[in-house]
Amino acid sequence: MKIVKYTLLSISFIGLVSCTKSVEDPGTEYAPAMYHSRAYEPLTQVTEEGNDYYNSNPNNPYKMNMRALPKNTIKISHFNANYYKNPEADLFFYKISKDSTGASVIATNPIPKSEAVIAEGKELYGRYCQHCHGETGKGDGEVGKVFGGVPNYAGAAKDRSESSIFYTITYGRNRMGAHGSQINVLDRWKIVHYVQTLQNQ
Amino acid sequence: MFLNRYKTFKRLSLVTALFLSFFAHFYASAEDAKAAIGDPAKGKELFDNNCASCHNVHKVMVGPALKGILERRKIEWIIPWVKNPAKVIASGDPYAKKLAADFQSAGVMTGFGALKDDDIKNIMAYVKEEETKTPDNGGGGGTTPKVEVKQDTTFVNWVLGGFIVVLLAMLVALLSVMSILRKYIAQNAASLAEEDKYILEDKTDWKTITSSTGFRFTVAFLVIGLIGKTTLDSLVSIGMQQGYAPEQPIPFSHKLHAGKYKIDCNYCHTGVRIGKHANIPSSNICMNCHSQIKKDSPKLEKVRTAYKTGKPIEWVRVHNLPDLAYFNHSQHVKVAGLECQKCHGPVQEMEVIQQYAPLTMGWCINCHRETVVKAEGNKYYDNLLKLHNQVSSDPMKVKDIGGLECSKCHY
Ligand code: HEC
Ligand code: HEC
Ligand code: HEC
Ligand code: HEC
Ligand code: HEC
Ligand code: HEC
Repeated sequence: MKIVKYTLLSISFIGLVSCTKSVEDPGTEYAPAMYHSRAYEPLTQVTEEGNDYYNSNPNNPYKMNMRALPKNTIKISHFNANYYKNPEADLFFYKISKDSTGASVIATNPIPKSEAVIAEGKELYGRYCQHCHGETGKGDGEVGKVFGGVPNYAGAAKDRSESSIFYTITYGRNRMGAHGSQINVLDRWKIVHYVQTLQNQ
Repeated sequence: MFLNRYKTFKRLSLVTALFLSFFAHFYASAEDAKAAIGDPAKGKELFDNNCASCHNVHKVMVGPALKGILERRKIEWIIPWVKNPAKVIASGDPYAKKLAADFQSAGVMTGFGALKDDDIKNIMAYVKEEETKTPDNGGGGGTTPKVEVKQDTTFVNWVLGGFIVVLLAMLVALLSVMSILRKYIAQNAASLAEEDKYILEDKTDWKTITSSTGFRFTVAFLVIGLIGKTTLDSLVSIGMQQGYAPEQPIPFSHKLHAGKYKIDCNYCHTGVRIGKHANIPSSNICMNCHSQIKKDSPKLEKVRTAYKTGKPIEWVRVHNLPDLAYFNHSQHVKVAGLECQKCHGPVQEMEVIQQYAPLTMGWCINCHRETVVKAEGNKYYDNLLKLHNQVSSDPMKVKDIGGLECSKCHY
């Protein structure tokens, strides 16, 4: 009798202790349905059918539960004529495409130049461009040295126009990749202001 | 009125003419100064600004090493090449075609239509001068940096293990010395003083000790306490995933990318300032660099497939709050200006990403109790701050604006 009692006790003890997580295992959750949602959720997906937490969409490619926007959709925040008072410039983004070359469509920067905008551009530049183009735009960033072929703004790319720079950020150019998916339209124009100060330093 | 304009224009044109003649003179004199091939000092500047990103004199980078270029090619070939390489290749020039084929993966060299013939000659003069120098091996482009993957925990373990071994050895040595001494004393018991005799009788009575209640109580207390603590600990940590560091489908290293190469967190985690989720970068972001860097590495096979076919990379999710709690990144990172490291730890030193914070409710609440709201420069807080300052002299903390309200995080 006693032995049974003790075995039961120690088994339950081991059972309890084994709930702990490890490096490879997240451990037991109190309410797993709260951690694994059956509704669509960003950044999680269970694709195997029959799983309790299956939350995939069989109609999408690779059963993903998100979808790219239909072509030619215009995001409302990208078209805000009151803010710019210049719908022409607003829609510039939609007139260029991967196939137009940098300077072939001309637009002027819809954001007026100011100290504050340049400071903001500098911060954005630090986030998205600096590791390749270097702090002063000489092409000597940590990644730029390994990547190779990053031009000096004040040298080879000195006379690129603002619409050309905008195009380069959006669609990339030769070796440089497209950064349109990472930076929104307004921020791109702010970066353009800062790149222009680097061109003329 | 028109007369005035005319006069200004006339003056202007005069000034322009003056400038022109001055420049022409300057240009001409500069021309004879470098009769041979060019001025290496000017060439160095031009080279650094325009060509150094792809060319080195001594080693192959993106483009070929330029050493010996003047022996390989005539300057009459080089000038049109630098101005418009694509045109030279298209013209069917066999050398250019072979060169382009050899460097196909680098793409065609950029054209430098804006450079003058003399600029290019200056550059070549610089290359020629540089050829004679020994190559400097320090730093520079194409080299592959070595990545340290040493784990210092093993080192600490070794040191600790060593300590334990030394301590054990000391203990054994001491005990054996004691027993030898006691034996020696027993042999010479006669010469022992009366008050020192107890040494011989000093025998530990284990039986009495073990059967005493005090001893049993202590042992029972220790054992139960130990079991209890382990059980409680493991119970408390259920649903707590601190330290979780699963193996990922691609051995992506934050230590390498965010640490060594100083890529900003925002470059990849693009959602962090605009929304709830920080987001995991899609394959096109990796390919911004890996189109050139390590482009044949087998470790990056999944990235290339994802880029080509759209098949997503299935990263293993590390941080995961239950659905009952709401957390928003932009509110903490953009509005409050918190560093990622405050919650995610030293990510730039992590070879494999791990959950650094416990992410329990207590952890959230503690921070809300202590943290002062960054209110200056944010109009949203103006009135709140005014009201707060009327009733309190403490700085306004998150708890003062409802940061402990259940409905802030649960709804
Ligand atoms: C992965 C490294 C990398 C990053 C990140 C990067 N660039 Fe570039 N960039 C390059 C390379 C390489 C070139 C040279 C392209 C070529 O071959 O013409 C280049 C060229 C350019 C040019 C000159 C294009 C021309 O017309 O010749 C501009 C302007 C530019 N980049 C701006 C930016 C800005 C702004 C950002 C940040 C949003 C940025 N780049 C981020 C690598 C990078
Ligand atoms: C974007 C990178 C890049 C830049 C910038 C660049 N080159 Fe090149 N260069 C190349 C590549 C790549 C080749 C090989 C041919 C090809 O694929 O187009 C080459 C080939 C050459 C050659 C022929 C080399 C040989 O061995 O025959 C010369 C000469 C040359 N470049 C000079 C220059 C000069 C001068 C500059 C600066 C004004 C310059 N390059 C800037 C990439 C570049
Ligand atoms: C080159 C792109 C890149 C950079 C730069 C980068 N990350 Fe990441 N990060 C990733 C990728 C890819 C993952 C998913 C793979 C993984 O978990 O290792 C990830 C995962 C994470 C995760 C865990 C996500 C989860 O599953 O819960 C955190 C936290 C994180 N990164 C924080 C940071 C911080 C903080 C920085 C800046 C110091 C940073 N990252 C810089 C690409 C990047
Ligand atoms: C801004 C540039 C940049 C971006 C973006 C980037 N990487 Fe890297 N990556 C590098 C550099 C630089 C190295 C080091 C190459 C070396 O050691 O020579 C590297 C190395 C690697 C390696 C090791 C390759 C090997 O064979 O040793 C892996 C794996 C890797 N990256 C995965 C990724 C993934 C996945 C992403 C996208 C989330 C990504 N990288 C985005 C620059 C980048
Ligand atoms: C106030 C604490 C805090 C700060 C500051 C913070 N994070 Fe997070 N992070 C979290 C929490 C909590 C989660 C889990 C979110 C969830 O599961 O919904 C998380 C999740 C993530 C994830 C996983 C994917 C996702 O979006 O849920 C990534 C990647 C990430 N953080 C990156 C970053 C980066 C990069 C920064 C800095 C720019 C940062 N975090 C700053 C607390 C923080
Ligand atoms: C600052 C945000 C925040 C506030 C305020 C907050 N909670 Fe929570 N709460 C959380 C988080 C985050 C979790 C998830 C913890 C986890 O996953 O372990 C949680 C979990 C819980 C749980 C589930 C227990 C568990 O561990 O799964 C309960 C019940 C709860 N909270 C009740 C409350 C009540 C009642 C209040 C008001 C007094 C409150 N919370 C206020 C963030 C908060």
